[in-house]
Amino acid sequence: MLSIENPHALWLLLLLPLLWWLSLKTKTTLGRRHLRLVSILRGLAILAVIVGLAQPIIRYASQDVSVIYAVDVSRSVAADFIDKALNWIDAVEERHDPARSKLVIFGKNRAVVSSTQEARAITIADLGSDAPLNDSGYVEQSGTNLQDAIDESLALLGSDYIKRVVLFSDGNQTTGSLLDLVQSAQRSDVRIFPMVAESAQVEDAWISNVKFPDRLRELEPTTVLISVYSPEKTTIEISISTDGRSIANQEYPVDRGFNDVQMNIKFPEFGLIPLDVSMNVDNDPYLENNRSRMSAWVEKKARVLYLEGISGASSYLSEALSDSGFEVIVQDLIPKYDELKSYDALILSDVLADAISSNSMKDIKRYVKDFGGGLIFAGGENTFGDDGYSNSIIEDILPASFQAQEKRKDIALVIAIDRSYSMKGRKIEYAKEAARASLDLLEEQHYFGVVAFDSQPYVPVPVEQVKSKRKAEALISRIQASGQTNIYPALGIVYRLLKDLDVPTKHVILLSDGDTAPAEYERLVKRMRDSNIVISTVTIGEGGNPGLMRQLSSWGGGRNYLALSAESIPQIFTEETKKVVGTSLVEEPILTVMKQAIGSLSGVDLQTAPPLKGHIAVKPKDTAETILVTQQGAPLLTRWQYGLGKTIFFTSDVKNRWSADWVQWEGYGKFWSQLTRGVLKQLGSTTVFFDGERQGDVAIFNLTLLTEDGNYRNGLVPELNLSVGQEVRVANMSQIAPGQYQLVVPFKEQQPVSATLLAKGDISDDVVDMAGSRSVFPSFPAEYRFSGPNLELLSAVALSTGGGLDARADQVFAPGDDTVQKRFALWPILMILALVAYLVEIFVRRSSFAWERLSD
Amino acid sequence: MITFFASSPLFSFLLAGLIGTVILLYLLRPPVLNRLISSNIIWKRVIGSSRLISERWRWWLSLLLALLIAILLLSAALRPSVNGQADDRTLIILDNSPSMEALTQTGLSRYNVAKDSVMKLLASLSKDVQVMLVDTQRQITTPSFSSISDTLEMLEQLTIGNSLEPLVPSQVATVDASKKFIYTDGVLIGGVPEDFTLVSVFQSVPNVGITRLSFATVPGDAKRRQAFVEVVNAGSDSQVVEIELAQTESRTLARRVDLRPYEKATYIFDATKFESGPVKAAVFSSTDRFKADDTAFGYITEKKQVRVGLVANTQDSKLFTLLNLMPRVVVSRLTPTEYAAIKPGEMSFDALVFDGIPAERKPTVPSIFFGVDSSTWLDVSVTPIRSSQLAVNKNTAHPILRNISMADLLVETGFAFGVSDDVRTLLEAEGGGVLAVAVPGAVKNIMLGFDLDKSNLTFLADFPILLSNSITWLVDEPPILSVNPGVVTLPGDVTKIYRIDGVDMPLWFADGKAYFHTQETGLYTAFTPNGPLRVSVSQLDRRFSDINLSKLPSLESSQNIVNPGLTGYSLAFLAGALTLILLMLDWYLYHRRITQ
Repeated sequence: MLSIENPHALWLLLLLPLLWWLSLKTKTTLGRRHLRLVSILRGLAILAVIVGLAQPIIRYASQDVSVIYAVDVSRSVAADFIDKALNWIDAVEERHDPARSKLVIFGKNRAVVSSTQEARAITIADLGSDAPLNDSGYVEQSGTNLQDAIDESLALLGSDYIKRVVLFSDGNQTTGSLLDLVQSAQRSDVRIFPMVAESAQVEDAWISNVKFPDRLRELEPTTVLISVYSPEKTTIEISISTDGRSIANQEYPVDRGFNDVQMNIKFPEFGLIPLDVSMNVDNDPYLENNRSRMSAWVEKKARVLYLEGISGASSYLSEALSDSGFEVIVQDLIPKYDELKSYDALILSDVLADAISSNSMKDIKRYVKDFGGGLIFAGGENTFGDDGYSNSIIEDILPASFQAQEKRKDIALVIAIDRSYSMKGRKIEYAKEAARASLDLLEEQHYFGVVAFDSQPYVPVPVEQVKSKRKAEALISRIQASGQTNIYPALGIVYRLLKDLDVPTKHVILLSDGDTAPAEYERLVKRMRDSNIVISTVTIGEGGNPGLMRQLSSWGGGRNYLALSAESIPQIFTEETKKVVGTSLVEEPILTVMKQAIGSLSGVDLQTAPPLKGHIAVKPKDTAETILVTQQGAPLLTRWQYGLGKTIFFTSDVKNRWSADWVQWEGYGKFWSQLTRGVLKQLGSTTVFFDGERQGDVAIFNLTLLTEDGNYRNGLVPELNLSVGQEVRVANMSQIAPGQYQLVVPFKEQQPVSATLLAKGDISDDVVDMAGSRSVFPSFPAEYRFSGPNLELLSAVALSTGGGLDARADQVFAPGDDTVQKRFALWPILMILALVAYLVEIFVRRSSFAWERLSD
Repeated sequence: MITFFASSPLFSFLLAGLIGTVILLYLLRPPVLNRLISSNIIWKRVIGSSRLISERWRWWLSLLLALLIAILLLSAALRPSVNGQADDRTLIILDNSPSMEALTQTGLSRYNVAKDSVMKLLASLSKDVQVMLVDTQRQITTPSFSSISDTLEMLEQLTIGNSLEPLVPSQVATVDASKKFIYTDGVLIGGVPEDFTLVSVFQSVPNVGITRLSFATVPGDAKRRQAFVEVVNAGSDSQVVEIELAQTESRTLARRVDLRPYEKATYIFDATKFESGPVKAAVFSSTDRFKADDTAFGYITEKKQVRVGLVANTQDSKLFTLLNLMPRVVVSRLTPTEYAAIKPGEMSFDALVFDGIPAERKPTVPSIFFGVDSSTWLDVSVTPIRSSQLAVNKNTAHPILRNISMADLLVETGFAFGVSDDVRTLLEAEGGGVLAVAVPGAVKNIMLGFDLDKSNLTFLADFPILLSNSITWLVDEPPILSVNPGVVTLPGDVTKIYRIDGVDMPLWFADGKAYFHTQETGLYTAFTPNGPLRVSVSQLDRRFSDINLSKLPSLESSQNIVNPGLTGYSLAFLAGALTLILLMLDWYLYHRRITQ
């Protein structure tokens, strides 16, 4: 089909008549025939020039093929395959000789060359090379940008050819999206023929992902989830280190494919901790992808405030918790609320209710409910009954109330009264009144007896069930003071009276000033303890031997009281008897039974736990969970959520009394450390959320700020102190949504980016403390994660563009029904025609031959 | 420097041969004719010839003309190059990036000014010139040299693109053309190569645009919503603009604000009165010259109020208390009989909660089932759990289990679910067996295989959050997908996507994902087996609004119309034209016998 681009030029054809007219008016001597021929030739030359100036073009259908070979030389493609691809190109070029062809050699960048020889001369630069990406002589193989390579290929094809792109690749693109080009290829009738590349190093193992819990604490056991890819079933060794110091190292069996392994570690310090996770596998060909760098923001170790009601008994639990990574502060008093907030949990162990003021109780309630602090309340004889925490604010917080259960039925109580001469007068009278008061608290089924002693003991009231209190009271009244004190034989009599008695609770109250002859007290008392006989002592005055009395109670597993005046003796006896008889106190061997498994006790083998020696009786609240119970089903460990905080009630104690055997148990530390961790104030803030993440080549820091009542804090300009390699600078965050602020920082030369919020303007120090610091590390290139070709992508591209996957050369070059319109400009032909006509005309004008032949 | 075929030996040979041929031809002597004539005539001729040039000069003049004509014809045929570049080839880069849509003071967009200028350039070029037209949005996929008429056709089909990262194929840098032009405003395209003739269409104009839009429920009060709008004044003058958020005619929020030159300002609107659904944000300014960034679309996915029906036998249900405490939940008790009496199509609840009550038929609204057993309507199989089991979170990424732990959940007895592709496992027993599943679909369900009183679930601190997450997952739409115009990537389970006016957009699928292409901003709704997914296509990017960030000279001071004059003609064309003149002149001189 002929078309004229410049038809206006055809007006010049009017020159042809002028040419003819001039020839008619010639002054030359040319003959007519000669003149006619010369005019025709000149006319032909002029005609050719004029037609040429009109730019005639012939358009015709063509099946000339233009082909671009796009060769992926990225790291994930086998080097052998690249050689094969270039050889294939050489072969098909020779056989099919396409009208137009080019090669695009690509990885992270690309280079365009005209031949495979040029392609082989290109330098392939691996990760870390200094080769500039815009240097056409280098191709960086640490990435794959299929989109860029194919886009360039499309641009090279030329519009008036049948267009083919042969893509040699494994389809594992690391940047860009090849599918974004599908429409462009379709629009331009480009068929793409992917040739599936063999993957390089398919037998390579690599770390895919490392995941830490969001909140971390110094020295707290933490589980790290590490995802690794292994090409075969093998054993891998994972190491985690910080600043060159190893934190953890462990071997794991893995299967072929992706594996998730869990690693338990402890962060040795707090703050922004750089971490290096590395994997060691035998015969691993490529080691660069066996390493992952990151950072973790680790809070300081958990602070626990510990109040112990019995002085000198705090060491067991405090040492166990300290060994487990807690910072334990032992105090006698509840601090003010502001200081209380500096602790993550509070432990109240056998603390007298009177020792905690009403305001302090309110502070504790606020600490748990509103601040989210944890509370562990451990029992003991100071904590139960009407004089304990019943109806107190603390009871509100706890998951169980101190209400009594049914009264204890099987008790044997023996009062041992020193009736030596030193007791003469008011003392002996108050002692007898105290014995009667104790008797008064007992019930008919209880056993009761009195042993009076000076240098020799006697039994004024034999041990038997309390049938007639009046008779026993009368017998008590007959006791008279005389003689010297000798406690040892008296205890011997008590032992004989009680040892064979078949009751679970056998209790002795020994009243004396302790001024007695030395003897093997410890051995005797321990024998009594072996028979479940508990000894409490009441020391009269400080003139005797109070130390012995304390020791006797300690060996006997009971309590020691100091009666500074005779008048106080009955009250002490009443209190002690209440504790024994009282329904809230159980002193007997207790086996712990797990009623409900909880995560906090996972790994704690309670089967190996020795019996506890006592507990207080409580009633769990409706919405509380009862975790541990006694063999009789009495609650031993209960917990619940109270406001933002969690509380635990352990009804036995934590020290060397009821837990005398527990403190020796190897699971003691684990039991208490895990329970304590379970109630710690949750890390992180409910008003400040700060994190950093990697997205491609940038680090993104996000900050969400809320008020205490959950409203967004808007309109702020938070500032971050940024550290990128050696460079430190301050940058403003921008608000991107209600309460949300963001800063995007590009990575520089694979350096991590660290950010710390600055206290400035409306950003207070508290907010900065809650935000902490974050570091974001650039990712190891995805190119080094070898997992086989992406057939789905390559097939989709082939299918969408009408190409084919792994097609034969014949199929690539076969034009089929494809045709394109080509154009051919006639200009050069016409100019040559004019030249020839002109030269012939000169010859005709000047040659003798022409003159002779054409003369008239 | 003008060269022919880059001064190739072939051309030199041809030229030498041609010159030699012409000289040889002029060395030919035409024969002398013997005629008898009167002597008067001879004398007249002698007197005449003394006034005319000599025969030698005639010969030289003739030879010179012939050589000129021959050489020009040869040159025209072989097309000369200029400085090694094809003289008859012109490269034109036309910037069609988004900033070119800004209106100039003339009322024409920068793009149209540029396009007009390109058309005038094409008109001024000689018709033998071949032109390669390249755009910066890669709409011309395979650029190549074409005739001017073909180039004009391509030019007509070009439109302004939406990519903020203009791209020019690298082959443009090495293209063989003696004349290279670039038509741009210089905003997004960056620097201009030195060998290009720059035609700047930049003109600083007022523009205020929306660069961010989002909605969020206030964490401390689930009934309150806030809208966040970021607005940029990209112009050099202060602007008074009105920002409007509209859902319906009656539900609009508006604010008039002052913006300093080049100021970026953020505004919070109390959007509590907005219901779930689409929201259009617009910024109005009387002097604005760039409309594309004046509107943005958002979508509120969270329902403001959720009507929940609690189907339970007991009036004293902890579930009722918890549901009632949720700020946006309006809960109603239903006995199983009352529930059974509800006719299909008359359901007035957004969600149902079955507290240990088996549902005999599949509910028509999303539901939570506590205590599913074999008598419940089910799409999944169940088997009894015989012993107490601790639960473990199986799917922490699932929205229902987000931010909560069910690690202490103990189930005494119940049923375990069979696993299939249709359900998502939520909780699994430590000893094996699936305790809870989420069933996605158009009507979602959450099923727990145990009664509340057969577990400690209600005692767990995270139970209220679990319930809240469950309600959200059941009734709220998934978060809106905000994208820029162009090729949009969607989840692979999308089956259809419609524009807001109902136009069905073509989808294609590959690599486990779905794709569609759009140039138009607005709201789109994609359909998946799990319900609709809203897609907001907006140009919310600061780079999009910064239409005045250019270092190029302003349109007023630059020569935006290139009229190359004679340089618009190729040397070949000029040679052809000159040859024509010389051929006519030579013809005249020959017949006047001035030449021979």
